[in-house]
Amino acid sequence: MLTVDDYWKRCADGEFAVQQCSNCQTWRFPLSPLCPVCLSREFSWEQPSGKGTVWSWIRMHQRYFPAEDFEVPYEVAFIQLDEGPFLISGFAAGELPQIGDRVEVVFEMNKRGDQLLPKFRTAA
Amino acid sequence: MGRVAIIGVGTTPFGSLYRDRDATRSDYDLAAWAFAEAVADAGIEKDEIDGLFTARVGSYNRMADMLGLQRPTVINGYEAAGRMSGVAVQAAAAMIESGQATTIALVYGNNGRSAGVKYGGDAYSSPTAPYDAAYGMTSPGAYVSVMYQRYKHLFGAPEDALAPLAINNRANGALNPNAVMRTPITTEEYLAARFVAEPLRLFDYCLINDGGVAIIMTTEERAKQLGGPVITMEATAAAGDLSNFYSSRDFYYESAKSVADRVYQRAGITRDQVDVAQIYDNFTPTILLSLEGFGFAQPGRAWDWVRDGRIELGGELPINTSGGHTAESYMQGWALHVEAVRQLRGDQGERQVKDAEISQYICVAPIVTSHIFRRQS
Repeated sequence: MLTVDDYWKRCADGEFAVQQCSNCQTWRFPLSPLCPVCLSREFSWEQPSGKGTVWSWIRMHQRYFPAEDFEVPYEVAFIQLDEGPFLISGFAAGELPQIGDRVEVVFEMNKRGDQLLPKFRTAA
Repeated sequence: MGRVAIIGVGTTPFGSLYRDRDATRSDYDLAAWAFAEAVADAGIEKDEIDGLFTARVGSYNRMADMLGLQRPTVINGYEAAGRMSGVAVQAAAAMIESGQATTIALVYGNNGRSAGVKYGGDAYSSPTAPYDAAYGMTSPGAYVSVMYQRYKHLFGAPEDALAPLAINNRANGALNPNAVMRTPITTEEYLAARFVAEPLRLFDYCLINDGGVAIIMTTEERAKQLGGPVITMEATAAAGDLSNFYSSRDFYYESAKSVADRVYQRAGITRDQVDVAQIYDNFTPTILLSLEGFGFAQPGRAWDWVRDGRIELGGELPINTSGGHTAESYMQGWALHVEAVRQLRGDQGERQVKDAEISQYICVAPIVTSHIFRRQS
């Protein structure tokens, strides 16, 4: 069975990859056992362009997670990849792109230092 | 086919339960309390009830046994999501109209405060929670904030755009003896309050409190025999806008518009005829999206439309007359349904909308629902 680790272990290797349907080439995120377009269960892990657009973002002030993980306030980004899927992410350190800005993926270590995360910075 | 009527509504106290901070309460107990109130309100014998819908409580088995309703003809159990209150009421109406049952009790119990529910953090589940948490993203409010940030950006809504909504709820709560929050607030107080998930501030957020709500529905024919004001459900409609995120790409506009078109057409009214509306407000931006999707305001302009008192008591469209989810009680739409009925009975004291004949419930969320209620003369 697919688990979220299948995604994160690729991130740990610095590889931003999501599922792509082998039948109709539709990209999908989060993990799903079948293609929502053609219902095929055949897929492969593929690296999208890594380019996307900032749909929106927020600044979280409420402390929902331990201080060792996040220093409030912090920004959270909602990105649409050029390939279609939306995902929650973060902005690269020191960056605050605006809604509609073009961005690209970059890897950064989390605060605890135990997980490499795909984040986004203003596209070159 | 005859119409469906709401003959009984019941609520637990909200304000007094909130002030007693040490109490630990059970969701079943709260639901049962409201059920007893609704049965007394309807003036019927409990044994007349042949349908039981439960919401938020863990098990309809336990609930049925506790209420002494072991052999109902129809049973539905709904999850603890606010969008489900409208769905449940809609399903109950359909069951009564089709003759599957005659008199259905819908019971809801919420012990969120006693149970320490946070609606965010490690215990929070959503389709993308295992990914979101790595970035500190969590909670339905944060997702609505994501959507509102974009709305604000696209439509030029100012910093205090949501203030009239929070202020209106508190002003109405001040007139509701049962409301949790009864102190009015000003724009300055709204702006001075802390951010939770910026751009949303404290007063944009619903409460977390304990309470129960029950509603009893039956045929209009049966309602007429009971002697009180007859409140009918004239129409109901729904539409999904479902994704992995509590953020709609078009601010739920198309789904809300579709529900609006159908619910007004089925009720045979125009939106101008609505005397009072109860609009789902887990977070204040959803009120703006509702007013736009249902055509009261132009897309992107509801923040401006609400600024001049239109939504207040005495205004063109009084909304959330009980104080809504940010002042009366966070009963996930259930208490808004009750208020929609009570306003038509015409006995709501200081917060009564004068001569209210038609009320509307609106919930704009991943499942958009709306109903039109009417007092029959």
